[in-house]
Amino acid sequence: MRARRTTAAILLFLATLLAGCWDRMEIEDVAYVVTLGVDRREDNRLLVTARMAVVQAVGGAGGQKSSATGGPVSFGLVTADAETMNKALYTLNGSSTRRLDLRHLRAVIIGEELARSGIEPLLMEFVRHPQAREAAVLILARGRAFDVMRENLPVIETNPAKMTEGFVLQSKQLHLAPPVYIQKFVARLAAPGGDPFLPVMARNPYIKPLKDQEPPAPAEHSALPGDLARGGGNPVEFIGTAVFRADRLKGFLTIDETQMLLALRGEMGKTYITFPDPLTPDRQLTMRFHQENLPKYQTSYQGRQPRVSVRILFEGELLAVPGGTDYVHQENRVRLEAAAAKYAEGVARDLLAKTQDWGADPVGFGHKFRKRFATWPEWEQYDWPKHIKDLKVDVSMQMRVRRYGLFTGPDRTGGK
Amino acid sequence: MENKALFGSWSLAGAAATVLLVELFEPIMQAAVRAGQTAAWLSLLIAGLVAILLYWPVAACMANARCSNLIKLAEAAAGKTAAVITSVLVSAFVVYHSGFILRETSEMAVSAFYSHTPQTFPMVALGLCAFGCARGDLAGIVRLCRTFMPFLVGAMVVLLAGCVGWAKFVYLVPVLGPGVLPLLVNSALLSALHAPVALFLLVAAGDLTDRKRLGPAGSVALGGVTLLLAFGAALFLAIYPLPMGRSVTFPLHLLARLVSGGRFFERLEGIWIMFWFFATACHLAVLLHIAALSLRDAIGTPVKVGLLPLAVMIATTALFPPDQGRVLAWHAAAMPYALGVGYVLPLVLALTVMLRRRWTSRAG
Repeated sequence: MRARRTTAAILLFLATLLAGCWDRMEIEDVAYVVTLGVDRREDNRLLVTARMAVVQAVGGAGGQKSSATGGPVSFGLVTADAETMNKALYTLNGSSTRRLDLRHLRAVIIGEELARSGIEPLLMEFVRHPQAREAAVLILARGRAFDVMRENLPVIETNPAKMTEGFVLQSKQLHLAPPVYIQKFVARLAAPGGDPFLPVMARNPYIKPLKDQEPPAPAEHSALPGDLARGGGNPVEFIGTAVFRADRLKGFLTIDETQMLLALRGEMGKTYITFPDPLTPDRQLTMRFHQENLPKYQTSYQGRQPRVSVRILFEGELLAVPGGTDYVHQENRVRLEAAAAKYAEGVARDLLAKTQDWGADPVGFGHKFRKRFATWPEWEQYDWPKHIKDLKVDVSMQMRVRRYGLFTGPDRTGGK
Repeated sequence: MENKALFGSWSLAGAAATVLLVELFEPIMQAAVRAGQTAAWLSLLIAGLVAILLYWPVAACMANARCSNLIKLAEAAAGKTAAVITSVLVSAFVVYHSGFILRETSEMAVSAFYSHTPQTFPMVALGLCAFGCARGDLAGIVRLCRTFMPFLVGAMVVLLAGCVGWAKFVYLVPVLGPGVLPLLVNSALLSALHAPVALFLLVAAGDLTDRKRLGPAGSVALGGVTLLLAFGAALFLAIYPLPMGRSVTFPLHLLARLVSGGRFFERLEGIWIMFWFFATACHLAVLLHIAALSLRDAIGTPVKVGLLPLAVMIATTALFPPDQGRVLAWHAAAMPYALGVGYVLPLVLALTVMLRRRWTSRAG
């Protein structure tokens, strides 16, 4: 009985130690980094910028006052130069009374120059890191990540974690940019058969302080990141896609191209597309495209050339018809559906021409060919990236207009 | 006469499942990925099937020959010397395997979450817990593991279900991995992963109420856990595809870091760390106890006397490798030899007993 009691006492004592007394950390002693920006510098050095949550200000309980808004500043921005991300974070602790901690890291922003030189070693630092999560969002900055982070001043949000969450939620619902997490990027990078891509954050040069702001000039039909025709608000915008070949940035996609990239991957959901009105050619109309079903793929070979045929079905909801045509009318509706499909096919073909020219496969056509190989060594030996430029893609899209909003006639009240 | 506490076949199956499930946490998953490549899940299914096929005849023979456990089987096959050799082999295997499991667990605890804690601390804590547990009687340990099993299985299922959203199952294609023949050969060798459980079942059989249930109990445990392991491997490779998946040292922890329940339930991996530690302690306690049991049956050393030197040897083995890389490499390199101790030796002993009985009955 005595032995049992002693054993029980020892076990209970050991259980208390399992909490890890060396790793105990009071919340007042920690500075949570919520966003991390990384840029490339000379001699393979990195410029690491960390946005930390000022916890008291996030909760609205004080903190330093912002000179711009007069409200509490809920984040601090610090930056350091180092050879690796870990070294930079370690160095930054030297100027902080609290230990920098990545457990609440929400987003990692990669600078354009670093992305062009390859980001695999940096990403593996995150996978290896005990605190960082692969569920953090990965974003590409057009230009320097440091500039984008410094100038990212959301109008509504004060909570730094919410700033990123807001962007991600927007991209999940509206598809102006694809939401990509570190895990997804790393998996696409690892698996032969497709190339990774990232959403883009860019400083829009047309945005000025409100007193100097002029109305934006007429814009390109579909904007690249940083070129959105707008004024006021946050100088930084979150649109478009950055396409990679392996871990190196190759180029950018516009909003329309981003939507078609997601459609080809079966990830588009609902999005807004504006295209020429087939019956009033000088006007454009806007429809909400809805991808209800996954695209249907068929793969084949013509000789040694790989061929893919893809069929996509969209459902549409008419939102704006400035030309005034009555598209509820059967004959008009058929022409509208054909025009919408033709427009989407055109964007998809331009997108594929662009990415194939870069030697990249962001759609992941290679994965459609994997099942033609019986074993992994055969598939590895096939070396998919070598075949991307030869790939022949046949895109066929269909549109079914399902809804016309709360008003079914042409965009006219009928008054004279 | 010794008043022994016995346990039923469901208790034994539950305990075996707990012991086996620890494999899901350990880097042994890496071995499956290396063996089966994209077909790691298939490889684990084949390995489970091979383990059952090798284990079942031994269990059946032990029941028919009225041998209470593996050591008695050895004695019946080739006398006392064979029993001593068998118990030494079992103990050596337990020391090697448990030492490496102890070291791997503590290395990963320090790498993954206790980064400021000395590496020996989780090792000592875990070792003492397992040692304390192993000092109980076998029925008590089996019941403890059986009681813990549903919680462990539940935790695993929740973890795997929580990761499904991250998976892309196209990464499991090509389905045949390295090709049919290499897949079969590698998978058969992979069945060595289940050797500790086979040994546990065959040594613990002495305290089973109905020895005829030894075969079904072990097969249910091996089969059930194999399904979970195969699903875990498939999910892991669908999230961390080849070739990256080969180098992940702590697969389940990486998966646990992805699990969240909306914006307010994040960073949940601490829950599984608790299960992982407890399951590892059970695994170590069970193996330590059966090694001491096998020594008792062979050379008559009381279990509690045998435990201490075995525990010291396990701790020494755990401290022997100089770094984490070599812990993993040495453990993986030695695992195929477990086939010999876990399956070939019991099978040879069982065949010898059967043949001897046939000859004896013919002579009679």
